[in-house]
Amino acid sequence: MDEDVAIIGAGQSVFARKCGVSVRELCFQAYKEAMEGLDITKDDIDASITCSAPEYDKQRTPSGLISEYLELTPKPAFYVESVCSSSSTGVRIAWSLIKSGLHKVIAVIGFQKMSELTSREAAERMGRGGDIIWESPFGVTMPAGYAMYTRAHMAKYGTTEEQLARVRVKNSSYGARNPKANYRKELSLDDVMNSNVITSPLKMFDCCANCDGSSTVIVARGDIAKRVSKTPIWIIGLGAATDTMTMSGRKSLTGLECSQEAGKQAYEMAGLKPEDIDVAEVHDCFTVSEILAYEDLGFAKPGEGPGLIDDKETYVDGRIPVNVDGGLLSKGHPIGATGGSQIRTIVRQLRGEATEAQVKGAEVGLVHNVGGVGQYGNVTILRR
Amino acid sequence: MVGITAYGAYVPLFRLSREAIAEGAKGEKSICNFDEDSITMAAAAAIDCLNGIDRDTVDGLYFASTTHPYKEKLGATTIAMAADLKTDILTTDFSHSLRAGTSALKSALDAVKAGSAKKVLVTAADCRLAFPRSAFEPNFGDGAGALLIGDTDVAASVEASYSVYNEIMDVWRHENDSFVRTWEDRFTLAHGYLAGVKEAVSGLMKKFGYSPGDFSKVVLYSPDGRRHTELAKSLGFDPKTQVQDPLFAVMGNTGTASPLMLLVAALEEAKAGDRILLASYGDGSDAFVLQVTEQIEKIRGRRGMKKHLASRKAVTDYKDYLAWRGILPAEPRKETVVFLSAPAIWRERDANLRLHGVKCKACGTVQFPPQRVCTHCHTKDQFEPYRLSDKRARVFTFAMDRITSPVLELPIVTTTIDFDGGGRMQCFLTDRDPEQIECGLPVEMTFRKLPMKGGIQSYFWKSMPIRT
Repeated sequence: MDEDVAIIGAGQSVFARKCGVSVRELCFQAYKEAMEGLDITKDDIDASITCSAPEYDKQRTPSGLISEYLELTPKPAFYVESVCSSSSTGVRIAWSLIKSGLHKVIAVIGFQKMSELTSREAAERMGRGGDIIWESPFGVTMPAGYAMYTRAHMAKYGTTEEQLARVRVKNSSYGARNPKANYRKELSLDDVMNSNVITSPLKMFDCCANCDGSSTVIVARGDIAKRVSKTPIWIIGLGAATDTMTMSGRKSLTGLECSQEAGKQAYEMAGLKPEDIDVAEVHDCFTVSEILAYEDLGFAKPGEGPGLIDDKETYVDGRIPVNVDGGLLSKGHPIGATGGSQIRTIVRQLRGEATEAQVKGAEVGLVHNVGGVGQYGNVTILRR
Repeated sequence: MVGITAYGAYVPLFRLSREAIAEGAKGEKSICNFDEDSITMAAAAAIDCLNGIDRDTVDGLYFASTTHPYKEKLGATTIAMAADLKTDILTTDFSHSLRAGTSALKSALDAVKAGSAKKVLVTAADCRLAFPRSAFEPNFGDGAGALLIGDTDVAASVEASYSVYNEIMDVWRHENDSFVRTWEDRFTLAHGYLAGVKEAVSGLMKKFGYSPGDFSKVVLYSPDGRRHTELAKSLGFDPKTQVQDPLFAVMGNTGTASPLMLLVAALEEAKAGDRILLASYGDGSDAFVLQVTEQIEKIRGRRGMKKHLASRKAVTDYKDYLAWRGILPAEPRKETVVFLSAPAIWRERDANLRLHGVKCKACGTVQFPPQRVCTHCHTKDQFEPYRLSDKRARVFTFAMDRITSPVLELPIVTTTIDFDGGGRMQCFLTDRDPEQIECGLPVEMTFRKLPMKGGIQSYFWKSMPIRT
């Protein structure tokens, strides 16, 4: 059962602000890396799924543009969207299309070109990911949404700004070693604590940055995967869930229920528990998001997430290494590309290729990718 | 017996020190926050007035102002929605003169007397602009007053009234002007204010047989905080014992709202048996005689003037005031996170203007915005409207955003609030002190304007720390 569908290739572009390439060239960079070393050509790919959040660039229906540029025509092309978790959703759809027997090898291409908007325009579009009648007109930008989770977590559990800052310190130490990361400077606790306030209590270095980037994940049927790839990475757990669009409709503001539910589904499908995970990529769009993820995914009990970073348990040699590629905080967060980039990191870890920060003997990895302020939760569990 | 059955007032939280406008000027004036205007202030005064009164019993709402946000579009209807009044009632605006507040009062009295309405709510508000650094500017204050006029449970019956008009260019503002203009004081006071009010008050006393000694309190509109004393003396009143303080030192001249607000201040101090004289001014004068009844003791407990005046926050930077009033332009934003669609505003009018949530008839769960399925028991389409505007709440969590618009209020505070009695809502927090916001902060709801877009001034509710 768990050798039915595999990831045979994963790639990403350099994540950068204002990179001088078009959407199509951006996507090609990730596609090229994903196809390297595989015993297949573009002709073996029988469908493509393009994943991005709309309205960041002027191109409508970008799946057509990208299949043209990658010469994937006349194969069918689909476009999926779940904002920041679009490419995880894309991988889920690819899995289903392969399991159904309809397709054999699918390229899941995530991208986002954000540098053509001002930060304020981008904030407005992201804010519009909330309910546009009842909530986004009243101030809920992305940082504001997560700041409200932060305040609630602080009020309930006594979480401190310094504990949040430690997440960035950790992630920046790995981002510094990742040649594809946008921010490659190691940050001290003081650097983070003294950065400008964006949406209190979140400061500049508590936030990830908009950037341009792309990712590609090649998903294949098990028998083909074994034939064309030296080390297929098996998709053994998939979880996807949603929560209310309105923040005021949420049952909890100290954890993301969509993450908890998606995690539960993925663990159940894989027959695994949180302690079986060797390495994880979690959606650290803000430092607080990583702490919420520790708790939501069962790496720590509710309220004990901050203790995990205090004890350095999420460093590469800790009990559960998390975001040892720099995370969204250091890599940058090109919305539609992020899930694919997270998968790429876990694929490299499970193949033992992550020389810059390899978790020793990693067999099982987890990818946690969230869309919006906790609207869409996606968890993917991969095995070597 | 027809008269006042309840009163209410609203004075904004913020006070600008006159020293900030003109060196050596004394006292302070009340100023609206950037998200307030005459409509929002009138709504607040109306709601203060309706405290404890079944809102379905109100069958008229009049709104008087010279600073109406629209030239064509009624304000009374917006205020009636914010006050959650039924729709089959009289609504109209009175405008174009500082006398409009008492003209609305006179019309309401006549409507009740004639039997065409049982209870009419009269509101008046002003937020007038003076030329920056002009002599007018330190004088103008912002505020609103509200009087509920009826013929049962009357707390102050109106025994007599008398009106005069005078045609004069003393204080005016043309359609194309933003700022109020005036002729020189020597002319305007002598031939306008002093002559006009004197004619109305003396005419009233003569016609109905009163003498100056018959009044326990004389409430006179005052353009500058001084001339009413001269006027009172010339009419035979004792400024020391009989004349209502025009509250100039703490508030300023609130224009159309002024006579109503000063009357509310007088009623707060009045006892049964008192006789009050009220006179306004603006292209003439309306004068009234009011007789206070025992009922006055039963309508205490409103915020009115006294509590609103006591609840204050100083603004010391003149530039803040100029920016809030739009005199000093703010940095234009390419995009603001506000979406205006006339169909959406209309469709959601009960939720966004009345602040109606819904309450599940099966399990009692309160939800906002209104839904079709109960989140708790999943019962479908079994809801009753539930007014949240008069409920208090507590901040569950909040964010203080420095990157979003509007630039007039940074950091902008977004709150998730839990209402007493149930219901959760997300909204801005206004009239706030960023240092004092915490989870658990008690808040109340306040009707405020949103940024203008596409020529539409829309309104919604915000939370604010409870004014004590």
